[in-house]
Amino acid sequence: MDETWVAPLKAGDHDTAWDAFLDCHRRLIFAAIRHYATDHDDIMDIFARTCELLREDELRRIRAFVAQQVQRAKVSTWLVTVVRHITVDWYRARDGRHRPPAFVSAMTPQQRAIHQHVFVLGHSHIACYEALRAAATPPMTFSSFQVALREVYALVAQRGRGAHRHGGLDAELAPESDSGAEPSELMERGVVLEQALASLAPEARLVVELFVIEELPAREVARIAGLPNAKVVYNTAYRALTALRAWLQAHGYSQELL
Amino acid sequence: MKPPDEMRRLTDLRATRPIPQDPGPDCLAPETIAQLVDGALPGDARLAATHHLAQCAVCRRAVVSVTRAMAEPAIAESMAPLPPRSGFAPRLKQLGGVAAIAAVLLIYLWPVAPSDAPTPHRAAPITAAPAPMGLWPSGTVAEARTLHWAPVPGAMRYRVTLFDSGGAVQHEVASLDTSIALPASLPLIPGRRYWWTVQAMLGANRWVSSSLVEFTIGSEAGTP
Repeated sequence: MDETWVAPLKAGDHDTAWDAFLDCHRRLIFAAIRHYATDHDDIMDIFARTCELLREDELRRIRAFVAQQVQRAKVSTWLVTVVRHITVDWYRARDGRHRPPAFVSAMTPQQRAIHQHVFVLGHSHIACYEALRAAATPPMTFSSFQVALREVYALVAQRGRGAHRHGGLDAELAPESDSGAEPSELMERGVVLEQALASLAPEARLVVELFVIEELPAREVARIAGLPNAKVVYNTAYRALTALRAWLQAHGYSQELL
Repeated sequence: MKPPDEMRRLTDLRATRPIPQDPGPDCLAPETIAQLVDGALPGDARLAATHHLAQCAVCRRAVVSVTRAMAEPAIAESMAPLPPRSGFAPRLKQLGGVAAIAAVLLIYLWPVAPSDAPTPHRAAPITAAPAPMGLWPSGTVAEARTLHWAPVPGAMRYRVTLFDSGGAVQHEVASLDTSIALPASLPLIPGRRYWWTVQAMLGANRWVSSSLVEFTIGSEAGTP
């Protein structure tokens, strides 16, 4: 590592090391923050917080990175990863960790109750209906429950749309489907496919997650998963698809789900 | 190489999955995530990390996020080395050794007239970058709802302060741009003098300030 800040860091001159580090990487830190945040004041506050955390305990984080004995990541990749962590923590500290998402807060009380039963507690539709019917006065009819349930599915599937407060961070936390499928169909299909995915071997599961679901380029997936090349990623994904179909068939589901 | 079309329906899972929550005690450290993204994690450690990654939505999200960030042009550009600063030192280097020697000889051999003038108490301040310069308003202007200044290369942000004739701060605001709009709630009184200054942030706690610019709201001048 031949960066200008490493020598003063190793010599224990932390102030000089920090100044040189910031000179080298200030633009990268800002670019990484801007990737995850869009509001100007947020960006400046996150930058200040990043500097504070990197400087604390005489540059402990930077020293730990430099002291890694095994193969290190590139400084730029490490720094972007650290900035992302700090940004996520900063937003959580500011906005609260356990506050319900905005789209849930905007629901009617009945929709929130359905969301709680189905999506948080994992109850079946029938169990959810029974719970709501017992609590409601006058009792809720099944047809009105179905209408409300459909609305909740639609809201869940559309969560986060039009509310990208945190720029890239929000976009990555609230992905959207572009298939045009009905929200309830998406959710029901999702439950089955998650079970099928869980049956895959770790390597195959990782390839499907990164290459198919997240749509990362095959060569990036190969690098992350430690596979020789993009072709192996493609072949692994194909074999996983066959295994998923077999699982669906064995469990009595239509292969059309895939 | 893209996923086969027959796998496309799996991408819908992104829309139906719960949002990943806080990392757990077994989750991967930032150093490990960076190593995975760079493909720099050795044998057994990589195997353990990828097995965890297959199961853990929080860590997978981090790896995907950093991978995408590293591919973003703005981040790639920010990693490129800065062009050399134009300044005295680089230009002196360009002159070459002979010219440098000549310059040194000239300094030593130049006749110096004796002077009784006292040496300055302190040397002029050393600044690594030019100070920002307030452009408008300056002098007497008809109206001043915006303030404009010349950009400073490498400035991360600017901080503008407006003072009244008594030196009290009337308005202070930060900006990424080289102009700001004064709020409508701030009345500038005709005939009264105001001063403003702009500071450019060049690094952590490194600010360069413009000189104070005076202006008065009158009827003579126009807009920028």
